[in-house]
Amino acid sequence: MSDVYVYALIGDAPGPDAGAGLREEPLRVVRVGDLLAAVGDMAESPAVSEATLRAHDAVIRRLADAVDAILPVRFGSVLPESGLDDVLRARARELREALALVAGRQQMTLRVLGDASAPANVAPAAEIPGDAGPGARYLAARRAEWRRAREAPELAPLRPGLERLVRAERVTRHDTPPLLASVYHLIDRGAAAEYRAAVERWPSTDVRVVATGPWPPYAFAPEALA
Amino acid sequence: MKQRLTRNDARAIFATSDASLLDVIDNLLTKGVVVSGDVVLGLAGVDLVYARLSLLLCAADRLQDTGEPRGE
Amino acid sequence: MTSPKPRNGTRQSSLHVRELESLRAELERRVGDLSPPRWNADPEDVQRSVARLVLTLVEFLRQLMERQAIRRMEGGTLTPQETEDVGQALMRLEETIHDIGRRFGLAPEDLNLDLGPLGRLI
Repeated sequence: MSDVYVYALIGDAPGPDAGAGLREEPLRVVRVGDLLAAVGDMAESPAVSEATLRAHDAVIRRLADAVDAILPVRFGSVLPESGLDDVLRARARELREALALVAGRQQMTLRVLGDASAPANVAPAAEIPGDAGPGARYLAARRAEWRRAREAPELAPLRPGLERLVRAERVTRHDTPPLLASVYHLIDRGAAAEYRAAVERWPSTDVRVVATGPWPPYAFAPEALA
Repeated sequence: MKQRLTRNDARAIFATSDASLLDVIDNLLTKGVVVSGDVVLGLAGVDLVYARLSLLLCAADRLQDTGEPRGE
Repeated sequence: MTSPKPRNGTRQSSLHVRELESLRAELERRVGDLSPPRWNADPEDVQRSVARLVLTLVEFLRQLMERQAIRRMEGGTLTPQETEDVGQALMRLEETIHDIGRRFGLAPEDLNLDLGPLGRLI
């Protein structure tokens, strides 16, 4: 079998208006168990450039308009078509769950900006039993660190306005002022204007938030080994 | 099958002040489902082996079709 | 779908120059140099090259396991004894990796290979 460029996992087969791939190659749908992958025949991964990145994004956007649920795959993913089965089958459950989460939804990206990170939230000590041994305490401390790395306490004042629009959230902390964190919000299709309005209503203090989107749900792939 | 190994021209995408391109880079190169990867092994500055990997890393207690979780 | 370009006019809707630079630098750091990750043994210090690769891979696996252990602990699928045992094993593994690294002149920050699509460890 030959190599394919994998664009995305999709919940249902797109109609004829799904468009072509980033080399104008026809898009095909490959079935792996009960998952569907949108692929294009391609012998080698395209070089990274502004043009190829934007072309890939355009393909994903057209596909996203033609299907209900889409999980974009990383740019440049070329592998033998026969290898898809190995890669996807064992992860089928988490991929299906991720597809269900993103169905009918889009991503808004928030950049959280300011000159200093918010003080870290302290992990509740109550979760560690008083007689816990060193191993349990170590794991509890590491859990607190993992959680802090996935939180954006700076958004607290903004949350009441966004709460009813946000279906899921992913956070990447940068902690390199002025860029403190990137927050990715999953919203229902059609809610982008309302979301932007809620963000812009929030008066900037020493923390600013800049929103872009809507995007296909790039940030909502299942977390590696979540 | 040829693979792109050049670095210099690709880094040009970072020499941008275009915020929308940075968003695209973020979405396409740091997000999305990861299904493949590759590595180049070498000695004394000479690239010798190129290996393309279809990545499969999965939580052991969430395996499907391939083996039972242990214990419990 | 609307264009991803931010609207003009409102004060919060676009990044300032300094913020853009910060985002650019951070993405450049995260993405790396876009070519496949390389391991190239330094002939002047082969032992250190080998140690660095081996320890980095072991640390990578240790972090993977740690993340699963935390997830299982949160999900309640580890008994208290398992939590204690796994926690101690992870602690000892981390100490061992650092100890061996020190012997080769490797600090914890050195054990951080670019793993391509898996990103950098840190």
